[in-house]
Amino acid sequence: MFGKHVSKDLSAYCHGELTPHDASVVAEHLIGCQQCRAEFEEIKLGVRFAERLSEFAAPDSLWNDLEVRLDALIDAQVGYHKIAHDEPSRFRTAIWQPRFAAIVATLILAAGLGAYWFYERESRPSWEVARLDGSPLIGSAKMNDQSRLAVGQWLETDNVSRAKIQVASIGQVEVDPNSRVRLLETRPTEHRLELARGRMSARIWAPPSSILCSNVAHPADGSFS
Amino acid sequence: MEQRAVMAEPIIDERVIKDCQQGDREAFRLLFDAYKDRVFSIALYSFGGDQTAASDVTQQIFLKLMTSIGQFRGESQFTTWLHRLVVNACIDEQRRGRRYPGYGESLPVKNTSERRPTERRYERKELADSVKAAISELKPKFRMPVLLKYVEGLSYEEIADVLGCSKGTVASRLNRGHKELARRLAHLRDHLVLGE
Repeated sequence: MFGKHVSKDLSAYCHGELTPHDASVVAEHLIGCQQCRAEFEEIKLGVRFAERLSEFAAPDSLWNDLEVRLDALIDAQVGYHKIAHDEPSRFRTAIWQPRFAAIVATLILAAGLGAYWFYERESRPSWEVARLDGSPLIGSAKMNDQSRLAVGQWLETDNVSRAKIQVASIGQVEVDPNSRVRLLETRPTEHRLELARGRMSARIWAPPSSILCSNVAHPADGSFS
Repeated sequence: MEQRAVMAEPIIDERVIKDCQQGDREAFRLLFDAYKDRVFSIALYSFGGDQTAASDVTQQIFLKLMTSIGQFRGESQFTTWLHRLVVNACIDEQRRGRRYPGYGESLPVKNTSERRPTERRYERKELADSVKAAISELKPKFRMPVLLKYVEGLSYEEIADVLGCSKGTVASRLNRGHKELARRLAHLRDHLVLGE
């Protein structure tokens, strides 16, 4: 008799948002359906309260405040675009200035020399050196307990210091106090040390014919001073 | 705060919109004057009557409008586009977790029988405040259709356009909104006659 309930259409019915046909269906249904009628009364009450809503005047100061924020926003955007657009052209202009070009060339040269020096230093063959006593020097720097002696570097001991050099994989050389030794060369088939002053003792495991001692008094059973 | 019973119809044509898109400050002022009260009212109802919050959100909305009006292609009504900005700004602001005082917290409503005759003149205002408090306590998805219907005077179809949903959904949400208002304000049923 009552057909489908119309509760979902009641607000639209109140607001005249239904087609004439749908509105008449709702109206007829409401006559006979107490449940929908009660709901309709509730919706109508809500509508009457909602109709109390009205418009308020915005504060007069709103426009002035808005302009301040708008100007700040525009300034920020202009600043951003200015930086974004101006910087590349400034850079392009500056790169052709002689002074700027000289600075850049110097920096590139310095970087290149630094890289070459570092590469050479790192790639130079070197021997391991152990500190035995005192503070021996490698170059002008005091060595740690374990350091490396590269080709061309001097190892120097004072009157209380001593050091031991590992000669590749074929032996060891002990450097006595008050000595100065330089690594001249190290290759798979040849290793050279120069003794500028003092005394060193070497223990080498190699055929005697492969060992050449300059300015050394006497070789003896594989070891020599 | 001045409450307006009649909504002024804005005179904003395509020319004004185009001038705004060109960055014309005067055109923007026209636009602002035409819509500021509507935007402010929606914000005010959304933030429990907090005038400072409503002013701040209104400014944010117009700043957004000014900076993004170039994106308006005229594919929908300008007011629909504006209302979307308003709804999104209000909902976003609430999602940030700020809490605004409700009308009901500062203006408790008394029953008629408890009032002395000298208080009668305040009844209309108190009724209005109670309605605002009830509105601000609605969930946003029920509050926005109510505000767009009763403050902006939009049709169901226009509300559906703004909210990006169907007319049926608008009808359903308004149903829930009306029932919530009736339930929360049932004790003021008698005041409606006095207020009318």
